[in-house]
Amino acid sequence: MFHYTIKRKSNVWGWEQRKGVVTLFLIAVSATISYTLAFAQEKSIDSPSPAMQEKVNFSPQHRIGWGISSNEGAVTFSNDSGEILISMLYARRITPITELELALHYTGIQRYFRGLNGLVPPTSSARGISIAWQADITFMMQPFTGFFQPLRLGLGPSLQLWSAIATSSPLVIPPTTTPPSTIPLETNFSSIASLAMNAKVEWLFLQRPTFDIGGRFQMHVFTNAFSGGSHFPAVGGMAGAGVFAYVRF
Amino acid sequence: MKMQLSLRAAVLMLLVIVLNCAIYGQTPDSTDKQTQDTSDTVTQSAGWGVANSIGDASQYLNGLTISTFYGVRLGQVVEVAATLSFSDYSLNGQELFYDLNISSIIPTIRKYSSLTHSLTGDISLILSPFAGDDWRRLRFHLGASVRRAGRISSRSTMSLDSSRRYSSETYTKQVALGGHIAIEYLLPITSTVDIGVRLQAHTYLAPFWVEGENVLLEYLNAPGTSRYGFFPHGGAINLGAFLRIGF
Repeated sequence: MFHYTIKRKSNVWGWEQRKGVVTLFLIAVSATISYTLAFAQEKSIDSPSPAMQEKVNFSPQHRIGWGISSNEGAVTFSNDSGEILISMLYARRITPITELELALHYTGIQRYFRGLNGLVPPTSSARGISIAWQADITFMMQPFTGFFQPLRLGLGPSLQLWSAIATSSPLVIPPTTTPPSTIPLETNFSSIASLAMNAKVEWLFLQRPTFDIGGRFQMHVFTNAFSGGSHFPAVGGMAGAGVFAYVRF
Repeated sequence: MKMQLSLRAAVLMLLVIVLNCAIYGQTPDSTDKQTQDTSDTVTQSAGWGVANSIGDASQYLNGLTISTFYGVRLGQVVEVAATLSFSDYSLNGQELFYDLNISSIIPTIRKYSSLTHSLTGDISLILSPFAGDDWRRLRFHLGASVRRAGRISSRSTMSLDSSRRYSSETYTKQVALGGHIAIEYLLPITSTVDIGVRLQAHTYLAPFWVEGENVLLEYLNAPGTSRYGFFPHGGAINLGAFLRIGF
């Protein structure tokens, strides 16, 4: 059929004419493809579709990070000079200025107190370990522009799991008379779970397309334990400041 | 002659289309190719893991370890990763037993409490020596470790008539160097996200810094627990899963 059509047309046009038409057709096809692709590419840059614009504005949408802070509060026996809290987090961007952040914090301390500032009597010594995990969900906002653009604010609920053990005994151990020994020793063990609220304030002092570094102040305020029992004050808080590093992708 | 012209026109058209596509790279196929190749261009990775741990920090009972890591690819088959692992383990309870005396049987209460914590830092060389889409996801770890760990355990027994009372306590805090090996397999979820399964073993040297008693971390004067494990100076075996994000 194709050849027949060509043959019929060939009766009207000569070979030179047909070659010219084919050449023009190829040029037209090439020009159309080139123009279409070039236009599409240009449009994607200068006048993107709403979906593309959204992607451009929101990208990158994920953030992972780690932080190290000096913290003080109930889980550090409230009578020390600041303890290390290690944080790891993942955040998902919701809007251009808001993120939902999931974070996990760990504090593990071990101390030997000897008549220290009233924590134990001057004639006593105490040993303690406190291990705390805090998981929180924080709604982070970066609402400002201009000079305060690096400032981020966050608020959300937290869950804390806290285990602690503390033992105490006199510094002067009385001589044992008959075995077994009768060394007075008091042991307190606690393992509780409690709900909390967290608040975070952060200043990103280094912002790059794929990574940020910021200084963060964060605090957790705990309610009564809903599980477990404690010999230590379970209601309280924990606050501190530290440095956080983020990777965005 | 007519056939040659048609064929030439078709070939020329295809050539023009291919050239245009090559220049502008806008065809769906090329986009898909770029997406598929993203995993090959990933040079950094990070993630989190959770594992069941059996070791001296958990008195060779089942414990939980949570970890986070960051890795950098050095070549097609080599990667370096830094990992932090956290674990703690506690025992708390009491039991009633009868102390047999020559003249009487004395009911006695035994109370025991123990809390152990461990923070381990690893530097790992990760090798994926095999070729092929499936086998290259099998990776091997070898590296150095440092661990800060501590434990307080106490035990007290007291007869109900208060005629006998005994208390003891073990306090230790120590830092030790060690090494680790691991084997893992990555299950791809997307081009940049994997879920991995890892079997890992840590072993440590004698601690180079000790506060309190210089005892094995596994030493626990509580009933029903093993006192000595299979690592001379301590260690652990972990089996767990992790989420790995490449970027």
